[in-house]
Amino acid sequence: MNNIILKCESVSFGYSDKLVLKNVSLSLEKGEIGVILGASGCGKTTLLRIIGGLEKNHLGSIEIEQKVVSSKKEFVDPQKRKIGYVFQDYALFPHLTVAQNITFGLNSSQSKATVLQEMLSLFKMEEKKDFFPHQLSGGQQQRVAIARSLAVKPEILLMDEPFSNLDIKMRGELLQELGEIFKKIGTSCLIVTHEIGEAFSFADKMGVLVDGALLQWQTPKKMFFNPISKKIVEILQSGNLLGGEFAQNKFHSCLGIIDLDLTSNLPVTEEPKYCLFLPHGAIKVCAEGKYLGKLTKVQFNGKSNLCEILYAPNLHFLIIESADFAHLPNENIQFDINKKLAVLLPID
Amino acid sequence: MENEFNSFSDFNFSNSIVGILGSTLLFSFGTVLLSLVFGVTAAYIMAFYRFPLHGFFQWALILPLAFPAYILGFTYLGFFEPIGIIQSALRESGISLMLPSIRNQTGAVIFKSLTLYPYIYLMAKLAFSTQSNHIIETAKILGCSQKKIFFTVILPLSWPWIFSGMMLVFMEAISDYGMVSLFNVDTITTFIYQKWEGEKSLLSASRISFIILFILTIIYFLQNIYKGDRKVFLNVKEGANFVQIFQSNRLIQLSHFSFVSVMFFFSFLMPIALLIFWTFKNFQLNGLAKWMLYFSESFKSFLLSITAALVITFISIILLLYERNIKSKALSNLIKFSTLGYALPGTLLGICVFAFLNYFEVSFGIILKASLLGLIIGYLIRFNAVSYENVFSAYERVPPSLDDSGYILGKNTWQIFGRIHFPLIKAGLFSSVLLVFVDVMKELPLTLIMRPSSFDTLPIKIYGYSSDGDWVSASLPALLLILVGIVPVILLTKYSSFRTKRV
Repeated sequence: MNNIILKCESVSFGYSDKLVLKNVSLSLEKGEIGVILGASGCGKTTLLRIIGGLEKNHLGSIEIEQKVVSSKKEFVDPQKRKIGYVFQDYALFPHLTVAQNITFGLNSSQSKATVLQEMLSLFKMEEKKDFFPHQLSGGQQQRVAIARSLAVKPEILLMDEPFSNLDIKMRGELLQELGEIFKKIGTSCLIVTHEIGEAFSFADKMGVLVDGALLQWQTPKKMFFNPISKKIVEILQSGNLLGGEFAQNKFHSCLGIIDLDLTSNLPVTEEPKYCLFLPHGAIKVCAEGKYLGKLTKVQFNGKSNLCEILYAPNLHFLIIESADFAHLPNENIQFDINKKLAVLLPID
Repeated sequence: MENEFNSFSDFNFSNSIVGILGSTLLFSFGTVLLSLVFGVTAAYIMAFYRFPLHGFFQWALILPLAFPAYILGFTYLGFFEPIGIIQSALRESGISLMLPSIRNQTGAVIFKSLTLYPYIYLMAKLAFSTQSNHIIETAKILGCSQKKIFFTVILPLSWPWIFSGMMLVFMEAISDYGMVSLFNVDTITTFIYQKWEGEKSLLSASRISFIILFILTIIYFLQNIYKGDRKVFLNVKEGANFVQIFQSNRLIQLSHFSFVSVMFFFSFLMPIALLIFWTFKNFQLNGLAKWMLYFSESFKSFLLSITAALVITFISIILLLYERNIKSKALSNLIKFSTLGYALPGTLLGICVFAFLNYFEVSFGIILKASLLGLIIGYLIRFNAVSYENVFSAYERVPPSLDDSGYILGKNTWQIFGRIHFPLIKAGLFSSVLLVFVDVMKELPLTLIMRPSSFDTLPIKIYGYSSDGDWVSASLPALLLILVGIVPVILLTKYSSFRTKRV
């Protein structure tokens, strides 16, 4: 049985002088949380607005629950798409109480009472139901905005930078809480954000949007360990890129010749110029490592150490070591490379 | 016997006051209600829809603010009255048709609303166009129709602004003298004037003044209730945009265009056309001779207004310099209190100033009471707020650290004012002088009570001619006054578009 709840196919959108979205395709299954990651101005909010029906005149098609809601011929109004939408600024009605905000989209008074109770208990807001939005903290406002959208039982919830106005602590708490709520009620959700941490901790599937193009749409782990483009590595900061030349399953670089068994997955480019991607974890400091380098920086961030190793002039590696990493800057250290994790990437 | 007489006269006074109070409230609330309908409808159309000449109507709908209400009133009287244009023309063509009289409460409410609706229009439009687009989109996604969005989201959120506009209209209506006296509506202001001018009774006039003061105090507090809500209700945060325009078909565009055109026609175009028509008629009848007389009256009005404007602005500077240098909350509150005179009706203020000057007795008082100086004191109390607000906003852009630097470099307060403040606040000073000048030029009831005998200003001349039904003679001074009145309207248009962009 086909479980696909959202499907975007070759969606393009632009203004007279600028193409904002270029051939974006993605799909989301029932109950999945999808995250689109991108810098500001890359087109991610526009994509969300198109899916929500707040922007018209795009190319390609959008299906929600296997029904076309937007294409060259079809256009279903936002209120008929069975979606929920949470804006970056929450867009709570400031003149209505929490309870009135949550039940705003409901019609019958009976369902209002039941759904209100359900939402208040789900979001732990029972005591705040008679408060006005300005009397709530940012996190509470966010909960009300999500509760209001979920109250109408949407097929999919669209969220635009939902946590950007919250402090780090509140963001962490809310992320965990919402993840549990979404799984509990089985809501599908598409989130756009510029926060890498949010994307990894929340997503079942994620993608990176660069200049209007969705570079990859995959599970977070695959995205991290098997990126298809150098740009994805740069945006996710998921490891080191090593320059060199590839020939006959061997990568020639400053580190010497590295044997690779990648022929079957090798991306084909017209000019076969490649670099080698070594994700965090592929380079490890060890007493009998094959390579010798100098530790130039050790930066403790509370949970781990970010270290920089100088191997050759102009060749640095950034690695993440555990919190108890004992070496100091300017020490000579040995390290090794786990070739199994290395990924060959075409140079764009 | 004397006591009985007093009780009887008190009884009569109380009875008549109840009727007059009722009539005043009916006129004021009627004007607020009709202005609300005109203003909110126009603002909704202008903020959310686009149609041909939309840009023109943006500022054209504010133009009626340039009309002193009594001028708009007399143009319509001159049009509809039995001796007015329509009925005279009908009689000349042998048709005997009596149109229903507009010289009553309903007529006064309609024509007063035509000059005051821009207050509500401006406030409502500002509120509508600065609402967060996300809020409207959210309501749409949650299944609301356009009508439901307007009544359940947009209107409640704009209410604090609209309410402020309504309060302004109410205060203007309750203070009105010229319009109600032309339309034979007995209100508190005409009553005060009659008591004062007819019976020279300071006591009766003062008693009724207390009632109006009481009502205005309630209004003042009511207005403050909603002021705090504005920040809460203005929900445009990071990531949100201002409202987008609603899509509309040709028919809707046509109906919107028709509505604003009709509004503009009756509130500005038609009265202006009538004034121009009468001005030409005046020229045909009297040639240039009478025009010269108007110009000498205009010159007197001009001199009086410019003197008052300069004096009032100078006093605002002194007040602000004191407030700036002596950082005392009590002084600051006292200065704020001194600006409340703007809310007082001119007739009431005139009586108060007279009562106050009475304490000076004959020697100095007689010079003051019947002189231009007394009149300027009256203007000062009435228009101090206009000047103070302008100079105050200009001073907000001069940080106190500049004064400190001046003192450290050895300059005194006046040198600092001349060399630092003045160059920085001169635009604010200019708009203060200009706005007070226009307000004084248009002022009627206060001047009527306080002026020295045989000293006529333009409004007094217009009022006199129009009371006698001499629309032809009133037309040219009225046109001159409207021309002067357009200046602050232009300033207001710039200010309101600036606010819309900034908020």
